[in-house]
Amino acid sequence: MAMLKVNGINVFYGNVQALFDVSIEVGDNEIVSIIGANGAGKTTLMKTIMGINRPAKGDITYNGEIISNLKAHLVVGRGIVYIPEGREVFPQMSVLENLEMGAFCKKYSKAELDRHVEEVYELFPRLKERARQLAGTLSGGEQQMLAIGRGMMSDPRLLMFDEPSLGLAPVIVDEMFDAIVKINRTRKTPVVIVEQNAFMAMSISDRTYVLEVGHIVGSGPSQELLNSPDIKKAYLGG
Amino acid sequence: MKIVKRVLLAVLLAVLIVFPMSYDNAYVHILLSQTLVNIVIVMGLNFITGLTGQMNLGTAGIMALGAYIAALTSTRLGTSPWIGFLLAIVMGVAIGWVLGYPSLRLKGVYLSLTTIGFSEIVRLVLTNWVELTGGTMGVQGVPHINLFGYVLDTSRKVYYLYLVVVILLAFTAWRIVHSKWGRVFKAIRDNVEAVEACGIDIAKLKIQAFTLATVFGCLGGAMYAYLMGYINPTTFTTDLSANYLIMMMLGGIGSVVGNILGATMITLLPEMLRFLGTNYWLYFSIIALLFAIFLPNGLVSLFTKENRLGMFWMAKKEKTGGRR
Repeated sequence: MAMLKVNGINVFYGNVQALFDVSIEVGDNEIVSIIGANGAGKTTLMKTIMGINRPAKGDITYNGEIISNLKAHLVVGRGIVYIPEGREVFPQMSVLENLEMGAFCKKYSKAELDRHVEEVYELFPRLKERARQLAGTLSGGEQQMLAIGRGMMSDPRLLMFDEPSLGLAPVIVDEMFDAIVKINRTRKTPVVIVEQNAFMAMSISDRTYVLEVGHIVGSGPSQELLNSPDIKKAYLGG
Repeated sequence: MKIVKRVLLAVLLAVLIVFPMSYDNAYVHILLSQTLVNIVIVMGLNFITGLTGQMNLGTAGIMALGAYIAALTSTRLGTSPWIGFLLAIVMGVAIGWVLGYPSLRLKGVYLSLTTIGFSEIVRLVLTNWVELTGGTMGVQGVPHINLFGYVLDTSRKVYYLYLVVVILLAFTAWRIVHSKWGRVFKAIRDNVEAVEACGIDIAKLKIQAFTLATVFGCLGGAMYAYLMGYINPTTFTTDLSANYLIMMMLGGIGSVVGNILGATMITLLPEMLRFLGTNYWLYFSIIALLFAIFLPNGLVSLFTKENRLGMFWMAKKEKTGGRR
């Protein structure tokens, strides 16, 4: 049973149509990647699921409930957490304060809050070392870890990563994807990854959708797509 | 360090208490009380503009409504000034919601536009609704505050009451700024997308920050009315709103101590410069500009570890180095 269903949505920015009849599904416990070049509409799709954009046609359901008319904070309240691209952390706050911001909408007791922080530190021990440091002084990889950790603070039921590899050194990219797989395995949380780094995203995901200038042009098990000549040619460099 | 701070605070408090006693001059007492009123209003403005980063240019209108509701109920209905203060707070909440709800849901400059518009409408209504407000004649004979039978009939007595009020409000404001709440306000200013991703209702928090500003603003207005005993609409122009912004910016955006310093400096400095004669406002503007350039983080940065005066020169050096 699919927990998240996007049913034929059209999305516009003013008069410009960004998504054309896009449908995707995310099932329990799976990792789904959405690949595509710049401007394909990947981030638009994420933002529409989060309630930041509104679909002109079609709808989005989550566990059977229509969420495409909800505001962003209510979508997060349902357990869908979006980790935006470009490491959106709060530079003037310490690492710990950034994490606490992730739990703002939850009414945690002090003990629960500490437990969630500990869980994040377990996943990214580097953050624990830097707990009192200002987030703006962290390296790019550490900021991305922090952004993910902040998303984990609200007990997500579905995690969506937007370009987690953007601008990171290859060794850090590996670390990041390992962490994403680990979150998926240990917490049984389904994950959606939007990536330009198609090879990385497909190699850790179960299924893949290919987005091209607003249209879904292909989908299927990631392993199959990895071997498909078209995909190889378009996204994997021959 | 903590002890040093406490001693300094105690000395400051002693000066604030003793100085008006030793200095028997009604002009000075009014000026000091006016400073206290301004501190309240700037601390309020700090929530919405300083912390949350939403430009509010309607402080004058907010203050005017607070002042008028207090003055009118006290003169026309003869109710106690304490009721006036209470009504001013209610008025603050009402403005916060009625004006904040439509304008803060919009992004960008709309709050500046709606607040300027609001402020001007308030001023025009107060000027032209003569039967209710007295028009440009203003409201005269606003009664003195009565503190359990003790009438505060001189501005020195009012000063002491307001000093206590300001200390309480400053403590409240300080607590809010350093709470989880204040932190989210700052986060909205710094990175609105990340706040959205945290599942926080941005519109609601902006309205809350604005309501804090309007409550402090209306309370300040009521304090102003009871201090002066006479109000008229020509006080509450957009210039006044800009003045409060300058106080906040020169004092230190986002910091309660900065608000206090800024309000004090901008209220007292022009008066101190009066010996310069007709040009005193020019000199004052130059001094304010110099502060803006050399202390971009406000007067409060003189007292923090990273002294911005030094930072300014360093940044300049780096820039020229980069060009080469």
